[in-house]
Amino acid sequence: MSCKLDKSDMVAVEAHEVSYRYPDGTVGVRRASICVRSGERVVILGPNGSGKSTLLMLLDGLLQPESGYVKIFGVRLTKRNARMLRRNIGYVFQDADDMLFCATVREDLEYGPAQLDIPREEALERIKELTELFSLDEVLEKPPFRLSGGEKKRAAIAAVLSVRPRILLVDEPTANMDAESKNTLISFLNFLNAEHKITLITTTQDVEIAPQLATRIYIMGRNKETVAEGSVKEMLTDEKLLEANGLEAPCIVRLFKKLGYKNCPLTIEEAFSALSK
Amino acid sequence: MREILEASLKEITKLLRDFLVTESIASQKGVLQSIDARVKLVSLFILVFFVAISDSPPISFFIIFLSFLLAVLSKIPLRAYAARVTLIPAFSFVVVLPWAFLTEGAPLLNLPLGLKITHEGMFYVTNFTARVFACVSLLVLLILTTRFSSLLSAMRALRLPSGFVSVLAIAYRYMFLFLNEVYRLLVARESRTFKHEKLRKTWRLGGETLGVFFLRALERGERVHLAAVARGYSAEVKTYTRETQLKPKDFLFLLLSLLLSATVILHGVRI
Repeated sequence: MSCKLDKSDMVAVEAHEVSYRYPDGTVGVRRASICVRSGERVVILGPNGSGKSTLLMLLDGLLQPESGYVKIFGVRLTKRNARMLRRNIGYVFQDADDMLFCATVREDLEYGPAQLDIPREEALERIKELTELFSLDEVLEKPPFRLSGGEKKRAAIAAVLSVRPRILLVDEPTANMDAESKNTLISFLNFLNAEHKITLITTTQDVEIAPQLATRIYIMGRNKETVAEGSVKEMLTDEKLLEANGLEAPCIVRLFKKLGYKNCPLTIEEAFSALSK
Repeated sequence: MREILEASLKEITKLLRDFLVTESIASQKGVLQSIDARVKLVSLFILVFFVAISDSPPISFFIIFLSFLLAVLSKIPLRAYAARVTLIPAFSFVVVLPWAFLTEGAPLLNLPLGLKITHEGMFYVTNFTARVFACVSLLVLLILTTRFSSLLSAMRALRLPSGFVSVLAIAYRYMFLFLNEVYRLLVARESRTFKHEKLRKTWRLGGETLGVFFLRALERGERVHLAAVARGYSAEVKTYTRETQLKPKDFLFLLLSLLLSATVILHGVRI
């Protein structure tokens, strides 16, 4: 699968047929390709063990591909320039406990800017903004392990945003979250994309949240390849494709297919409007 | 397995509860809580050093008395404080007790089988235990009245090696996560244990649990390292220093503890 974007599009992230094998011989990803425009919202959808997290690590330069390449804003990512290019990328790990390793939330927010030698005053200004944006005032001086799951996730994203990345990689953002925290987090991510023009690449296995997080979807299969790419509607209404890759179409799609609709809605609002007609 | 499991769960729960108590005490408004962490760290460590090399039980007893007085003034529940400070001295007393019999000198008490407790031996045991008690009392005061994050900031401000401080910070951060992990492992194992196992099998299962825990810890360590790299970590950990101004009471505390250290040197340290 090659990069299908127009030449006029500014490409933020491009992975071309990247493969990676872990030291114990396990295949991480196999010839995976994705191409994301600057400011775009893309979801990488796939079942457990399809290589989504490995692909994100390759995009962040934390792992080096065995074959293929990754480009960030047109610059090929290598071991040598990974640290420099990573300044553009914020990577939110699936487990926030992996990311919040400082003694207090405040120190975690300060960590990134301090590593990049950003002056203290500027860092404090950013932290103040993020604290307000993510409602972290009350937990700022608390040790991270005293936070709830939703607070930890918000703190982890704020910690990553403190270095003002242009691309945000978010691994399974809503895993183990209750409905309210899930909705808040999705709104935050969309707000960051809309207001701050941050390119958003999210991985998930949850087909129900994918329409809220993306305008375009890549599907990764159990063979750890990117098997399909297209608009949210194209991907999520193709039941055969989803089933062949260990996924299931969203509830609404399955219901409307059973009702005989050809143009299936993806959200409650679309479903309501379709039924009203 | 059940006995080991119950004991382990009890210990983990106790550790977590102890931590919560420590955090709440450090957040209270007391005498020591109001002193700057840097001043407390320096003052108490100087005092601990001189008490540790002193040779006078009355000095050690005076420091113990003073520690309890400071504990009261810092609103530390005396029972909780006493429970924390007595365990290590009790252990050291047991360790040095044979010296009461083995040290040559004037007999204090003659026992059967030709055993005798000597004045010199008893002095050594009392002196050693009292010194340990005094040092532990001071250190527990420091830990109970200072938030760990403030302690780490104080270490950074005092220019302690950044690697050392970072290791401490990460150990503190992940200790509770690992305790929870062990807790979950033990509970999961217990939920699938249906009969009373023999001792040998119990030990084998305990070993396996420990092995699984180490593997999980290793994987967690790898992920934490990757997360740190993703956020800009290179070989050196950089932090912002928060230089807060010392207040008059901090200087007063420093002065008093230096005077106390001088007293310990004059009356307790043999030069």
